[in-house]
Amino acid sequence: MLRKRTIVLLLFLSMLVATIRISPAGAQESDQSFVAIPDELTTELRVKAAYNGQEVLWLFEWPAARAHFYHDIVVYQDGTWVRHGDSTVGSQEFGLYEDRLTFLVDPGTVQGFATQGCYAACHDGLRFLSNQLDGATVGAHPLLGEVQGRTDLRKYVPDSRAGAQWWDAPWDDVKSAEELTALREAGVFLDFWHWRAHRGGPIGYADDQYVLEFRNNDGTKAAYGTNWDAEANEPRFMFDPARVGFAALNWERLINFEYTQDDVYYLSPDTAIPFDTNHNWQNGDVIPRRFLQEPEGSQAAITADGRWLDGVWRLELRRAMDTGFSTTDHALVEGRTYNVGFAIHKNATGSRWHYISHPQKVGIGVPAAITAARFNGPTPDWNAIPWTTLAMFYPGQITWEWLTSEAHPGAPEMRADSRSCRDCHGENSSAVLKMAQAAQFHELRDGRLSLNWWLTLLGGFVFLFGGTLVALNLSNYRSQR
Amino acid sequence: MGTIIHVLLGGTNVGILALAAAAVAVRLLLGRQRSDLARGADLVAYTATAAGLGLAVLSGLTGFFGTWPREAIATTVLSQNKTLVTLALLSSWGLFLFLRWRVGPSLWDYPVLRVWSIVLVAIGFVNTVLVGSMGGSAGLTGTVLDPLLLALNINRYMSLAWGPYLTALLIVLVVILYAYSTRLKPR
Repeated sequence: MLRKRTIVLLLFLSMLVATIRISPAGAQESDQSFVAIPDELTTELRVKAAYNGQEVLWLFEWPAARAHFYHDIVVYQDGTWVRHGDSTVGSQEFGLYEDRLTFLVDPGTVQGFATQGCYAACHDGLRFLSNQLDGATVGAHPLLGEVQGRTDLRKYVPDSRAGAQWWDAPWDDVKSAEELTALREAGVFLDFWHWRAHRGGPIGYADDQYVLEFRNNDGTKAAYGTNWDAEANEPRFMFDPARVGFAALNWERLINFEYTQDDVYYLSPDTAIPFDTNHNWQNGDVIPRRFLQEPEGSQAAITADGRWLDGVWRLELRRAMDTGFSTTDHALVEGRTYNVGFAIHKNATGSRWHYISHPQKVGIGVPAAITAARFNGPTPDWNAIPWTTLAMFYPGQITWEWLTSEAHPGAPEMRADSRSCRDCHGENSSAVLKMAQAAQFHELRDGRLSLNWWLTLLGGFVFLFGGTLVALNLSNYRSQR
Repeated sequence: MGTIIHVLLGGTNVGILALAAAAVAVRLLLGRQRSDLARGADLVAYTATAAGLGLAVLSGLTGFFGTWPREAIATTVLSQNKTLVTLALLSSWGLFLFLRWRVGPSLWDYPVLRVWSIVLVAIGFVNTVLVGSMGGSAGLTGTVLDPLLLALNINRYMSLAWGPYLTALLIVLVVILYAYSTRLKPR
C-alpha cells in the first residue's frame, strides 16, 4: 500500500516539475498571434453617389461611437520620445489610430472581383494574418523585396500571379515587371480610394492608390510623410508656438479625446516649424509622428471632407471622373457599371481589422445597387438622392486561398467565377452576421494545439482524478459492491 | 450523415445526463433517507449517468470521425475548446459513475463523497451544456446559452486554455491534499 501511494506521489511530483520546467516557454507560446476579434461583428454603411460630367462625388455615413482622428504620435518621457499608435493588433490601447473609409473599384477587368469582392485581394501571408510572412522572406523576393523594397505582403489580385489556374495566386509567383505594366495599361488593377481620418483627412485629401501585385501608391507624394529623424531619434517638426500657441499636444488631453476636429491636433506646413531639440520639453508632451502635406499628381486626385458628429461619421469624397492617370485610376464613365467593395475601420483599428461589404454594382447614371445620380453645377443636392445601406461585416482571416480550397463548400463556384458570396450567404444584416461568425470560427484555423491546451488538459485531469482519490481517502467508506 | 448521427447522439446524451443531474439533486435533497424515492433517485442517477456517458462517448466518436475534416478539428479554436470541454465532461461523469460503482448506494451517506459527487456532477453538467452550445456555434446557429456567455464575457472562439500557472497550482494543491488525506486515512 505504501509503495502504491509513493508511486502516486512521485507521479504527481514529476508532473509538477515538468510543468514548472516548461512553464516559461509555455507562457510565451501561443497560437493566437494577431488574433483580436472585435466585440461588434457587423455594422452598416450608408452610401450615395452623384456626378456632373466632370466630377464624381460620394457621400458616406457610418456609425462610430467615438471618432478616432489622432494617429501615430511620440510622447516625451524622461528625455526620450516614445512612440504610440503604430499599426497594432486590434484596437490601439489609447485610441490613437485613425478611422478610415476605403473602397476598391473594378471596371470588370479583375477576375474574381465582381463575384468575391475584396476577398480577391486578401491572401495568405498578408501582414497581420496569423500566417503572415516575415520580413526577411518577403525582402528576399526578386521583385517585391529586391526591386520594390517590400518587407511585408499587402493586398494583391490573382491576375498579378502566374499560377497554373486563374485562381491560383501564390504570393511569390509574381508576374514579371513587364507583364505587370502591360496589365496596368490594359486596366487590370483595382483603383483604391483610401480616406484616413488623420493622414490626409484634416487637410482635405483621401489617398489614391491601386492594387495589382501589391497595394501601391499612385504617385510619389502622398498627403502625409513621416515626422521622425531616425538618426537623431527625435521628430523633424514640432508645433509652431507663434501660430498655434503651443509646441506640443498634451498626453492626458489626447488620451481623453479632448482635442476636437476644430482644434489643431495635426502637423502641417501651416502649423509646424522645424523641431527644436533645446526646447524645454516636459513629460507628457506629444508630437504627431506624421506630417501632413499637399499631395502631388495622381495622389492628389481625391479631395475629402469628413466630420464626425453625434456618433456618426459623414464623409464626402470628390474626384474627376477621368483623372488622366489611366494606369493607376479607373475613369468613371457615364452609362457604365462598376464593381465596388467598401470597407470601414473604426474603434482605433488598422490593417485587417475592418468591416467589409459584399461587392456592389455602382451605375454611373444607370440603375444598379448604387446609382450615381446626374446633377448640374458644382454640388449635388444630396437630400434628393436616396441612401443605399450596406451591411458590413468583420471578415476575420478568411483568405482567397481558403475560399478557393476544398475546405470551402463554395469553392467550385468560386473557381468557375459563377456565383458570388451573396448568392450563397445572403446580404442582409443577419446573413452577414453569420458570415462574420464563420470568419470568427476560422480565425485560428491554422493554429495547432498549444502547450497551454495540453497543460489545461493535464491540470483538469489532475484536479478531477486527484480530487476523487482524496475524497475516497478522506471518506473512510465501506464498499458495498 | 455523420453530422446528423452526431447531433442526434449529442442531443440525446445531453437530455439523459440532464436527467442524471436532476436525479442526483433529488437524491442529495433526501440526505440519508432510505425511502423508495431515495432508492429510485439513486438508481436513476446511476443508470442515467451510465447511459448518458455511453452516448456521450459515441457522440464524441461520431463528432471526431464523422463531421469536419480531422485537420479542421485540430486547428480551429472552437473545436479545440469543444474537445477540451468534452474531455472534461467525460471525466467528470465517468468519475462520478466510478464512485457510485465503487461505493454503492451508500455513496450519499459519506459527507466528503457527497460533496465531491456534487462537484463532479456540477462540472459534468455545465460542460455537457457548454459542449452542446459549442456544437450549435460550429453549425453557425445561435444557441440559448449565447446571451449568458456574452454576459459572462466568455468567447468560445478564443482559446479557453488557462496555461501553466493554474495547472501548476492545481497539481500542487492536489499533491498536498492527497498526501494529507493519505496520512489521515484509517489503516
